[in-house]
Amino acid sequence: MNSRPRPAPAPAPMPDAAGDEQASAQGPGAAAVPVPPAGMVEVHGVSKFFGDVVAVSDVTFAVRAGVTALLGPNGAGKSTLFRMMCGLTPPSRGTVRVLGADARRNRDVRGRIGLSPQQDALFDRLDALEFVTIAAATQGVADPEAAGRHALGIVELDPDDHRPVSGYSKGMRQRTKLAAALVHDPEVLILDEPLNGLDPVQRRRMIELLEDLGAQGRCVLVSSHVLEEVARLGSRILVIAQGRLVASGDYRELRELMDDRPHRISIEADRPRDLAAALVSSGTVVGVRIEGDVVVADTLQADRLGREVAPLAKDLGARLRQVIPLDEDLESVFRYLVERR
Amino acid sequence: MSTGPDTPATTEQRRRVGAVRATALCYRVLIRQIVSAGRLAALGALGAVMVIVGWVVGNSTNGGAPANAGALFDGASYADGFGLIVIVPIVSLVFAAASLGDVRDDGTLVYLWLRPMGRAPLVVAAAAAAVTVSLPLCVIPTTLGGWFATDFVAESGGVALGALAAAALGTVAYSCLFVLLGLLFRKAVLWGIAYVLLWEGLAVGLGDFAERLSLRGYARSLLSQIADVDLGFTTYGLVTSIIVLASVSVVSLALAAVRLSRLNVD
Repeated sequence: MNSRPRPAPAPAPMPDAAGDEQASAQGPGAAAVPVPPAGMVEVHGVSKFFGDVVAVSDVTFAVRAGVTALLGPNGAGKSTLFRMMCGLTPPSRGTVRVLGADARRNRDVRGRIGLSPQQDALFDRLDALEFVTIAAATQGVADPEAAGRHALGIVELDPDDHRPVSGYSKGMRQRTKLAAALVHDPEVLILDEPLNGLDPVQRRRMIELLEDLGAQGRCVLVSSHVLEEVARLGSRILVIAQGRLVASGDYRELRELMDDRPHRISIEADRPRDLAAALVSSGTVVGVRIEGDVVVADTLQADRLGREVAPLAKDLGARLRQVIPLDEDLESVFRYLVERR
Repeated sequence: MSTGPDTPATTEQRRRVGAVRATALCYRVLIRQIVSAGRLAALGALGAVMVIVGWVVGNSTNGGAPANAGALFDGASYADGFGLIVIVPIVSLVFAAASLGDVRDDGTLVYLWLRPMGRAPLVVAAAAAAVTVSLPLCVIPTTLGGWFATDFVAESGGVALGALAAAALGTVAYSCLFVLLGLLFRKAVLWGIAYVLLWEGLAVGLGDFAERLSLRGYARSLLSQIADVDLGFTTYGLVTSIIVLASVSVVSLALAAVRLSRLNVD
C-alpha cells in the first residue's frame, strides 16, 4: 500500500501529451476538444474491427519528433495501431498518415519507416548480417552491407557472427530486428515492445539509443505494457486500453492520475465483521465486503488505511494476518482509466 | 548503443528499389526459406519412386517383343498418370504455397512487404523461387519415368520430350497458381491438395467443359502432341496449350500481386 492518500479527483483535463504532441484522449486526462492532428504520425478518428471485435475505437492523436510511448495492457490495440501506421492493415474507419501519406498506398513513405514488429520471427536461415543487409538492400540503401554492419554495430551485435539467427537468444533477435529497422536511417521508427527479452544492461542501452534517435529529430514510437519501462523511455505517453486512447501526457501526470484511483485492499483477520464495521466507522473506507476471514475494503485513502488498520484490529482484539492491495497491477490501472471514461 | 555520427544509410542515399533488383532480392530470401531437407527428401523420394516404377513398368509390360505404339502409349500414360497428376501438382503446391504462405503465416512477410517496392516483384520472386526448386523435382522423374516406361522403344524420345515439356510448363503454371493460393488461404497446402484431388483428378472426368478448366488437360495435351500419342482424352493444340498454361501463370501472378497489396499483414 504505497499510494498517497488523496480524495478521488474529478476527471481533470490533461495537458497535451507533453509539448509538441497533440492528442485527443477520451479518458480522464482528455482534452475537451479534439485537437486537429499535425505531426509526423497522424491518427485521426481511427477504428479497426475484426469481425465483431473492436480492436481500436475512434482514436485520434498526432506525434512529432522525439520518443513517444504507447502504453497499454496486452491486447489493448497497440500493435494494431502500429500495423495501421505502417499500412500493414487498413483502418476500418478514420485515417492514418505517416509523413503526410498512407503507407499502404505510398511506397516512398514505406521507405521512410523503420518497423520492429512484435513477433519474434526472422528469416531464420540467414545470419544477422545477411538479414540486416537484405533489409538495407530492399530499402534501397546504396551500400547495403556497410549499412548492415553499421546498424549491427549500433545494437552491439557482431556482424561477423555467422550463426543463423535461429540460434540467437530472444534479446539478440530483438536487437537484430532493431538493426533491420534502423538500417536505412528512417525518419519514423515504430518499435513494438522492443525491450522484451532484453537483460537490464541491454534495456538501459536500448533506452539510451532510442532517446538518442529521438533527439536527432526522428519520430520514435515505442509500445510497452510495462509502466515503469515507459517511465524510463521518455516523457510522452499515450495510454491505450480496450482499443481506446484513455489518457495522454507525461509520465508524472499519468502516475499521479493513476495514484488517485480508488484502491481495493484485502485484509485477512480474526473477527472480520467487527473489523469491517470499525473501518467504516473510521471513514477510511468507502465500501467493504466480507469473504470468510477476509475483509475486502475499497478506499480512497490507501495510505491512511494502511496506518490505521493495525491499531483498529488491536483495539478489537483481532489478530491481523495479512493486508494485501488487490489492484496494484497495471491491468487494474488501465481498467480504472477505462471505467472512468 | 550509440547511433554514432556517421550513418551509411543517409536519406540522400536512399532510393526506390527497381523491379528487377527487388525481384532478385526477394528471390534470394524466399528460396532459402522454402527449401528444407525434409521437403527435398520427401518429394525427391516421390520422384525416385516414379522413376523406379517407370522402369519396372517398361520392363514388365514391354518385355520380349514390345509393340511400339503400345509401349509409347504406356510411357505417355505413365508420365501423365503419375507425373502430371501427382508429382507436378503436389511438388509445385508444396513449394509455391510455402513461398509466400509460410512467410505470411510466420510473420516474416512484413520484412519484404514494408519496403519501397512494388508488389509484383515479390510475387514474381516467390513464383521463381518455387519453380527453381520444383522444376528438377518434377521434370526429372516425369521425363525419366515416362521414358523408362516405354522400355526405350523407337521414338520413345518423343515421349521423353513431351513429358519434359509438359512437366516443365505444368510446373510453372501450377507454381504461379499456388503462389496465389498461398495468399488466399491460411492452410493453402490442404486447399491445394483438395483442388488437385477433387478438381484436377476427378472433376475433369465429368466432361469436356470441366476438362477445359483443368491445367492437367493442357499439360497432357502438350505431352500427347509432342509424343504423338493419343491418350484418349480431349487434346488441345500445342500452341493453345502453351498459351493457356502461360496465361494461367501470368493471370495468377497478377491476381497474387493485387491480393498482396490488399493483404492484412501480421
